[in-house]
Amino acid sequence: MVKLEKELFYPRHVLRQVEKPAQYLGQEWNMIDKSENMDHGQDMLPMIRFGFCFPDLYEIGMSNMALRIIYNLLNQRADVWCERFFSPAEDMRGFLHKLNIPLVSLESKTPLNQFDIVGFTLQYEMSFPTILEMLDLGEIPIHRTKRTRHSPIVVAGGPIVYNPEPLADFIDLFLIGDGEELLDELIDLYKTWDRNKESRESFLLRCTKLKGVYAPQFYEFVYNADGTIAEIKRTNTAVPQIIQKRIVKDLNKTYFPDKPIVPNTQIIHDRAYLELFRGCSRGCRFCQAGMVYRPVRERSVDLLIEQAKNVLDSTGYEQLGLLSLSTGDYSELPELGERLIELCSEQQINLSLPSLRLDSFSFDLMSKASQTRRTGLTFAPEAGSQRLRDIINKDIRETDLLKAAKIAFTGGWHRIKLYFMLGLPFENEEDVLEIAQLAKNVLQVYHDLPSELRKRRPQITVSTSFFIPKPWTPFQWVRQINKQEMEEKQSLLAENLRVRTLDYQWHDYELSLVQGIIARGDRRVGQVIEEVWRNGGWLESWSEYFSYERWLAALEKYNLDPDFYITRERTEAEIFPWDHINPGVNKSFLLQEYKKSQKGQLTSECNISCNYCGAMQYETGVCLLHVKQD
Amino acid sequence: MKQECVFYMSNKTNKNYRYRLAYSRTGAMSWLAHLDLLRNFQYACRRAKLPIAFTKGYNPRQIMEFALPVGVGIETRKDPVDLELLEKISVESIITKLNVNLPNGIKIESAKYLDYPVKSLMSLVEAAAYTLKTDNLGPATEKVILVDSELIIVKRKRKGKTQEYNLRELILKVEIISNNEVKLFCKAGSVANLRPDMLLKALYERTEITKIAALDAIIVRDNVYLKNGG
Ligand code: SF4
Repeated sequence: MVKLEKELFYPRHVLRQVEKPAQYLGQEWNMIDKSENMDHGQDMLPMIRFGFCFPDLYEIGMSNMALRIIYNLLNQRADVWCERFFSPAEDMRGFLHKLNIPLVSLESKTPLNQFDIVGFTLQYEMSFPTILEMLDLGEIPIHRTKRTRHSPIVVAGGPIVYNPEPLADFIDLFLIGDGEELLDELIDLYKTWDRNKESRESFLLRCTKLKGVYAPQFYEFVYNADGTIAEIKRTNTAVPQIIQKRIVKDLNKTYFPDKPIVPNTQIIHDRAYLELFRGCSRGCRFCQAGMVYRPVRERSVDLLIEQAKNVLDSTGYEQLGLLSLSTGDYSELPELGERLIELCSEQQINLSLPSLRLDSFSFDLMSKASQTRRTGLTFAPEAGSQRLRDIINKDIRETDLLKAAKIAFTGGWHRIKLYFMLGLPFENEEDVLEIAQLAKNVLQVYHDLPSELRKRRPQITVSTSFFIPKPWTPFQWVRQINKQEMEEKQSLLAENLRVRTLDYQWHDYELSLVQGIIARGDRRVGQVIEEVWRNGGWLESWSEYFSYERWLAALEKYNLDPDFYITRERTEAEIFPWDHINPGVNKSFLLQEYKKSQKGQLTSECNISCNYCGAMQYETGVCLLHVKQD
Repeated sequence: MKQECVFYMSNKTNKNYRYRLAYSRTGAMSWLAHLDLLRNFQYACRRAKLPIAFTKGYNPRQIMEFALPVGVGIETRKDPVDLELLEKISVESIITKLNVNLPNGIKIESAKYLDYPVKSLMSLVEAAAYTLKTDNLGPATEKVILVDSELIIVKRKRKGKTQEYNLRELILKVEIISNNEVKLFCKAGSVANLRPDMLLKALYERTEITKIAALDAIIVRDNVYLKNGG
């Protein structure tokens, strides 16, 4: 019989007293176990142990595409074993503390501090305190300066790495951009490091030779009296002045995880995914992903269909999702749609179609796809008025939206969700009221239908979140609205949405404020994150654990004014904490976009014309359409 | 704009073929909640490419029925589960196909084809056998179940109503195997059901056994007994 204690690692009485104990035990289908390659000692090649850390709970992290890609990609290498770490939930964390058990991997139950490289994925700002908690539970000094010769190298990357400064005190190396190739190179370089002969500093310095690697210890910030940045100084001239984003040029040749782990406990998106393309050609001015993932690079239909088959076969999933910023923009959507529908109906798979365009083609596709069930439809006009939609470069007309609503009601969809942002730059009362008006107009479309088409009462939900200005967007200069403005806008909208069939859902504003501070935070914000964590904040992305007061107290302790980060409008000349990172788009392009927004001028999509954002330097993807005209 | 789409094929043949499998679970897999175990089985059936039968209607589900839900932290040895397929295939092939597609720790031990109609597997369940192991479990169980006479009331919620049972009445037979091992035969199923954690609770509340020792117990469900032998 199996030795259970060894397999379970945790005492049974602990597992019996925590919720969903299976989340800590691993052993899922498609999990990769290389322990056999490890046990033979001498004659085996040394195995590089990579700890992939997702700073949130299992149920959140296991849905993440970056995890699926990196995990399977690294484990393809015979000389690497990549294992997973998630944040424990509160109950389990209590037991870890009480019983003095460190944070261990799901695969081999090895403590975090015994890994060679520990990598955090940065998906959202509020997970930053969780990073400190995980390092601490894993018995790795949270400050990079306190790490010794034997500590793991702590790296971080992901969609919000483009302002790494709030984490600069805690992370040894930031990996900027697509990780696929960069991680490979980093591991190769790591293998040349002899911890007994070469210092940690010297090795980290060597890492900065890899394109896309940012080692914060070699950079210093000089501040002006008003708190803004005077200079970003290198302390060693061997490191690059500007760290350029890495990209994978050809998605058709890039690794795709067709054997993702099938989790043992329910997670938020328990389904197979396809990645149609990276990047987005739209250029919405509030959207960071749309800027930092440039240029658009697509996968071919044939490859996608093959990947769909493989991933469904290997997992047994009954749901397939498409994972891209704007699925409807995929250049060969008609063909892909048709073939996916064929595949899915053959295998009885649910297909979810996110981010389609508001055109009749999309409805055709959806009608074909959903032969039996009409679930909710979501539209994201983002702003209520045409004026404001022009400002943010969101190219949706009200007439298109109403037309789409009509097709939807007629086609049997009766639940429609409308998604907006409050607090966009240059927003006035009128713009807020127009959100309510737009929702009412959608409702009116329903009432105008002939009675035989009005079988089910419509359910229209307006959902708003607060706009948070993000680095590397045309709105990185603007002020974020304060708490009072948030309250006012929200109640103004709520008052005007008091209609029986209209529902209103809103977001927590205190969380949005803190998110705003971290998003555009500088290196000094790191102390605040640490202080919040020291005062018990660790799962701050969960509203039940979040405490606004704790953040305010921490800011105060370090004499930092929240308004400096939130409501202050930045001048054109201001040096940003992220100016030494370059995601491919130029600051001058962003500024030009910001100015156009003030005049309400639209910018065309990349597949129509090029606006010379800077991403042309990568010589790939959608930019190639425009090369000849240069 | 975003939409979830659902596909399903209507079941063209009228006849489904019903199989009764017996599965074991050990190690990490014994810590899955019942619904997670069910999902694991469903995914395995798909990976195995078995001709799965679905329920009819707007929300088609794979036809699969467990005799008795299993609690978190309980191993099984031969728990019954029924499966319906659209084609008749050999039981050997079902067993092999599923076993290569189930995670380590879940295993189909046996299977048989049911050539008679079955309405509900769950309603057939009468009793279950468990083995429990932890330090000093033997004497503690002996005292609480066999020696003491005081009532041990356990509560159970069913259809919104709370029912009360005397724990001893749910137990059909106790065998003290050793100082730290006990075998238990008890009522199971939808009418009266003993959950082993009820017993553990009674033990740490009423004897010298500590809560930690009680909760550290290995619990194995050795068998589930069906009416007429199932
Ligand atoms: S260089 Fe032109 S085509 Fe390429 S991403 Fe930028 S704007 Fe789009």
